[in-house]
Amino acid sequence: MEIGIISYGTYFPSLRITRAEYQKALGSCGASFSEKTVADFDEDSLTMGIAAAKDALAEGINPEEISLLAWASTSPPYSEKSLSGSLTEMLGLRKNLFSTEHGQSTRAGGEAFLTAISLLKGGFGQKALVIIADSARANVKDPIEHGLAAGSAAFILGRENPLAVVDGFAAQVQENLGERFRKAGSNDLKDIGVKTFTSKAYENLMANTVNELMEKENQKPADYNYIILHEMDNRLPLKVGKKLGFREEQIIPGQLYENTGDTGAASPFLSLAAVLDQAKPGEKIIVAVYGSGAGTLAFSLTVRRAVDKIPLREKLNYDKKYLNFIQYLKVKRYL
Amino acid sequence: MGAHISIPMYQRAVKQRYRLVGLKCQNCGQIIFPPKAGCKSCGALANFSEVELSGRGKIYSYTVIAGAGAPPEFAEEAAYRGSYPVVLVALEEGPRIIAQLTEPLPPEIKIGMPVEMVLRQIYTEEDVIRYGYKFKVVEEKKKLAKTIAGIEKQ
Repeated sequence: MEIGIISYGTYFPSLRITRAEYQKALGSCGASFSEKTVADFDEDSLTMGIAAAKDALAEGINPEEISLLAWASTSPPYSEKSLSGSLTEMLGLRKNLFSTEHGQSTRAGGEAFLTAISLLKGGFGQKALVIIADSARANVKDPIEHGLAAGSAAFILGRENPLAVVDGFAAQVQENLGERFRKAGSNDLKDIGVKTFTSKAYENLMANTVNELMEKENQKPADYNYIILHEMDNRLPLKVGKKLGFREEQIIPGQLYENTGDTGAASPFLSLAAVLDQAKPGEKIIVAVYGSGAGTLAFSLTVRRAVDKIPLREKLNYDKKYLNFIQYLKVKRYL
Repeated sequence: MGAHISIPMYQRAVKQRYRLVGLKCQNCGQIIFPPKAGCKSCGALANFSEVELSGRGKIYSYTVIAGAGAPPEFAEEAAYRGSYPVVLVALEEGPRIIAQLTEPLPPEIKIGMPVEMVLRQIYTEEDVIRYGYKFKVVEEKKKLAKTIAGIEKQ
């Protein structure tokens, strides 16, 4: 039987800061969102991941049935300490489950997702819970900080009446220096600040990976209804997508950056949730995930059934609270 | 003055702190939270079963802790928030518990407002993050964006 997504959940914190607020405070903003999500003082990737997981489990899933847990974050609350026990206790999952934890780059979410799929195929039980959450930090004087936002997505995977099934995948890696990195012991993301250099790796690697996936599946861009290209910003996905031969209508449904900022490892999976919200049975989706340094994963899905859920784009507009720049500095503990 | 809770003590109670696991008295049906050695309704000292509470309830009463009034473990948060609300929540299942009310905060807190439990960082001591329950007001869907501190959406 095919393995796929049984249910999904998402979470965004209620705090926001606008690009205009950055410009007012700093004179410029190094990222092109119009507003971005900000984790509250008492939130982190773990609490946000729990919120998304509860949303996914609320679709009538018994937590006791989860036999596989996969976690991904580039900004976990501890650099070293297994979080599976925390997640299990916080969600009331059974303790005799197999778990994996990922976090070396923003590709982590894709790694967790595909690892869970393959472990299910390999006989590691019937249902997996994948939780992906990020709220990264950097020095606020550094333009790389400006795009960093917060959000989380969770998926229940299995064989029981999936709403979308995974068809195939492709993956590539490449040595790429100086692009979005964080040295051991540091809390702050950095890059060398040469965008034309660092975005080249994204453009080439993403295009090659998606091409490889389409070749493997013997399909062309027109055979897919949607393509999600990891949003490191809101320009590159359109650029790469169009170069590959996809039309704007296939790309835009998966674009959230404008209203969220860069949600790190969670980003392509929040986009996937936004696409699943509107997808119809039979439609095909490509998800292409990127991690700096660099590595990609792309996988394709076929939608089996429509979902009846509050759409993510609607949820994104609930209960928003706008921060001024000083409040932002305080909530991020920069000040 | 703060009330230091050692890590072993905190860990013993993670089930109740992370997801509101209480006790149900098999003798009289009373729900007990936080778990105690005996039933305050019928006095039974044995025969309890564990029960996970829904996390839904209503504000029974509330207060606002001013910055300087915060215990030391909440000093950092108080410095950030200025002041913060603490609510007494009447849970659906009966017990009343005290916790912080967290964002998104309503413009005005009112007794009777429906709330639900969320998991948040409570405080950090000895570099160990203490997670636990807080509550947030359950708002009507499609509520329009609000503003704080006079910052209008640009």
